[in-house]
Amino acid sequence: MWLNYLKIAFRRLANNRIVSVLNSLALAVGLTVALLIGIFITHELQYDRWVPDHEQVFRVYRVWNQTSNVVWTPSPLAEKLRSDYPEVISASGLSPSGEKLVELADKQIFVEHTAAVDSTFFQVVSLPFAAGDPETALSDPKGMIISTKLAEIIFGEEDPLGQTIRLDGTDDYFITGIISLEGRNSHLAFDLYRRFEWYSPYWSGNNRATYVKVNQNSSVEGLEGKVTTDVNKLVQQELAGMNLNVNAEDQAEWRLQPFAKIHLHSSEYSWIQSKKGNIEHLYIFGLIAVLVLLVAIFNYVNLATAQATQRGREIGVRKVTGAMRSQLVSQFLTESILIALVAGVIAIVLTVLLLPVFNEVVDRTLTLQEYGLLGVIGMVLLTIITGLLAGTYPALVISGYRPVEVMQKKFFHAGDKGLFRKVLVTSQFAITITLLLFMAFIYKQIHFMNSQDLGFDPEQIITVPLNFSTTNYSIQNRKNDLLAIPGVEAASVSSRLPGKLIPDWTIRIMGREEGYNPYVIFTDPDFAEVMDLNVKEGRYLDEEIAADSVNNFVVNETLVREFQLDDPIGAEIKFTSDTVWGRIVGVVEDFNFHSLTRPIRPLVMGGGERKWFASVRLNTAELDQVLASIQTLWQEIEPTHPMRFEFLDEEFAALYEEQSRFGNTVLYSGLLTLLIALLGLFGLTMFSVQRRVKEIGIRKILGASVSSIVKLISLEFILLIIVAFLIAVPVSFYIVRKWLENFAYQTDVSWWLFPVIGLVIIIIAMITASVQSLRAANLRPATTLRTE
Amino acid sequence: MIKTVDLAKVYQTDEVETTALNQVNIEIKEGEFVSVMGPSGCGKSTLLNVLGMIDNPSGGEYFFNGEEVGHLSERKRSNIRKHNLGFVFQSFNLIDELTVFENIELPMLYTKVPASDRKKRVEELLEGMNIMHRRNHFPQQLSGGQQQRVAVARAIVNRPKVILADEPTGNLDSANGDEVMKLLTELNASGTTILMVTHSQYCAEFGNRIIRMLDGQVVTENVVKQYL
Repeated sequence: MWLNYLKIAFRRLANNRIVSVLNSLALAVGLTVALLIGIFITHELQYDRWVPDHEQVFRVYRVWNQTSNVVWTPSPLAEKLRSDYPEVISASGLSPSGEKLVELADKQIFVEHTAAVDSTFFQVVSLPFAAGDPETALSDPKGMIISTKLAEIIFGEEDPLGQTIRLDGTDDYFITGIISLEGRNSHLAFDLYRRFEWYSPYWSGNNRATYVKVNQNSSVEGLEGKVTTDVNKLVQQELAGMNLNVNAEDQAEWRLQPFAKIHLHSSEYSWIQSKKGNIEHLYIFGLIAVLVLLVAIFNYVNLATAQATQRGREIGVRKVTGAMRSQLVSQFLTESILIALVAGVIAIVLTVLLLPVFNEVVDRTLTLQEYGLLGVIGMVLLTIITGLLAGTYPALVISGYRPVEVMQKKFFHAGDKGLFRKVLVTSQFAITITLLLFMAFIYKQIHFMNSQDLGFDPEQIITVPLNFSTTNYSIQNRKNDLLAIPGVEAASVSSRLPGKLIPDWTIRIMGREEGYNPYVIFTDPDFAEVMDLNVKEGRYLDEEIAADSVNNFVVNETLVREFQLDDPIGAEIKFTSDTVWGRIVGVVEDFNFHSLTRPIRPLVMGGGERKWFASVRLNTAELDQVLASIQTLWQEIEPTHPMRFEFLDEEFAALYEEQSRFGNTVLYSGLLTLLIALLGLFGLTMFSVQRRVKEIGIRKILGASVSSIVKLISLEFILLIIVAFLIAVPVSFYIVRKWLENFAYQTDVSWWLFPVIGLVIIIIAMITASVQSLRAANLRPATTLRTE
Repeated sequence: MIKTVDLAKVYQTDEVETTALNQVNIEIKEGEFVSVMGPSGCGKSTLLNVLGMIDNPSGGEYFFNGEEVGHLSERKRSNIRKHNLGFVFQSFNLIDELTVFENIELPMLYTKVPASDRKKRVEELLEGMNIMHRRNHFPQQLSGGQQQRVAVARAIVNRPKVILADEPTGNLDSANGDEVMKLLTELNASGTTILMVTHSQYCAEFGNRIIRMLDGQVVTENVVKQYL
């Protein structure tokens, strides 16, 4: 029997080439999108789940008011966790330490992802060692653990263990361990680990992440409660020693984040992490995959039910010769599964072809190989389920026809007048239009953020990270040489830069008991000129005034407003750890030192010594030449490191990369959904024309023009698309508004984008529908009537 | 074998009610060859559909082999159909995607006849109907007469007790028409009951008995040949 089903399915595929191509192509596109997104989601979900005992490992974080999560914790926390709580097996600190220059003989390599850890870190997190002993690798303060990838780059075939390498041109370390992730994914994807060089004994200073391993079955909530009480008490005692009160609402709750959740559930956490995942995006991608697949399935349902009118005789004959309904259902499901399998094969080819592009869109290096046999089984299952979903409705409808009706072709006129089909077409276009409208607003928001006046001018500024604390002075000494280069307008050094992670410090305001937490940047006096900051009151820091380089401060307008300084100039403030009070000497106009996803917060700029970035404002058309001159001078300023620079405006734009990638994914999915919906529309007009061929002939004999026939056929579909548009508008409006809530600065939800996108889609749909109706309208009536 | 009591069939659309069968009382005995005649729209095809259990009666009773079948579920009717009835249509109704062999084989798939038996039976029929050389052809590649022979072969392959033929010669020229009538007569001679709807007096006279219908009612029943 199955052989008979398969035979007839194959022959139908071959005999109805257009429908077969439309169906399998649409399903293939849907499956491709589902497959790509499926691969991505599986990849993201697998992060860290392979690490042994990961269920027992947690990262400590702090929460205020259930909203703001911070991963930075005090240095003594790990030790306290180890010693005071019986449920803790071990605990250890980690802090990303940025980019480091690694040297071996004549090789110089910048390693982007490096970390400092406590010596016991790998007893808490069991990352797999290819060489060395995780227990003792960092016992020696000069021991260093590197990744297999870095080992291969530096040492090639040589055994790296015991070899010495120089870090940042100054300190020598010897390799004591090699970590091999073997292609598995972890949020701990550092290429270099060494021990912390410093330790801060303060409980009120947060400077590292703390990882903790607990006993199986111990209560995580219980531990969180105990830590919150104990640590908050310590913080309070410490601040009291500095004559500072802490309000109860300013105290954080101390929580434990499961190790395997860190990758996907940390997007809102202030933390440096390469390739951060985002669970919300994952949900949206998953939803998109389901929607695109659904649109493709609707296509099949539509075409199959439309095509059923041609199968009346076959259905009738099968029924009168004894076919049970279940047998007919099986037959039609065989056909839909067969088409889905053909589509599955096309989808695999498309996936292989599109994977490199998709990798760029999602910023990952996904491969099909990592899924192996399980992936193949998953794909086959997905295909079969798709086939079943697509085939079930048509199978039930078609098999339900009564033989006497189908044999007499009565069912054309009976039943629901294609209402279900209309609902499906409308849903397809509603989904498509919603996706495309959402995409349009994502791009509009990104464009808005990139074109927004930031309150400072990031154009033509290069930024250079400094590798030594002393470089700050070298630059000050050579500043005149730097400014002498034609095209260099101004130069400055600062602790941080707009768009980078900026720390917050606790300050005190003279005459008030509570502490405040503004963001802090230490700058030299030229910072305002380089960034083109607008001083509203008072002045910026001045080289000539000695106190400006020590404890005079410039603040932003938000600080004045939020901390309620009625008369800011001259107001006395200081960092809690300072002994001497300083003064506010100037107020600058607010500028966005974070991405526009976040509102402007209070900011203090002071003249401290901790400066890690140089920024140079250029004004030149001959960029290459100016950059070459700066690079030559740089070799004298910091001889051990080649100069590494970035453009500040590009860095700022890069803050929206995640949104851009998200927008691209929605764009491509939207376009592919449109393609599927159009394939379906093409097929449906084809059937509509076939069904109405006699009517078209009669109308022509009676004098109908070609255009009136085209209108007749196309209009029924265009009306559906207009309905789809009317559904999509409120839905996408809601989604867009919801999404924009992620941004402190939001683009307008401009009304004109809705009709523009709607109109474009309606025009494309009209063209698609016209292809078939034009053909029919141009047939000679004699031919069309004879056909009937 | 077949008996109806006040059989009725009414088609109902939104505004119009059409009575296709009105108080039809007929009885067909096993081995009979009954022709049904009447003008277009008199209800003869509807009668055939109801007796063939591919349509429900709206009223009255229909006994098949002594069992009331007019109100059975589709599943039960389908079961009776596939073991007892064979159909021949004016428009042949062969499945375009299946070859001659596969079309004839089809009813046996639904009655779960083993593959070897199916092959044997189809080949016997192909041989008997002189279309063996066409076994792997598709319906579109055959002449009308050949298509109807395939349709007859398909109708009898499960050895049904009754064959219902709806204008079996309507689409055929006279030579091919004769050929089909000869086939039906032979089948009847070998014991199969035949109920045939036709417009043609010539064809009708191949039967033992002619039932004439008008406006959904049986008007006369002529015995053409004595039933033995």
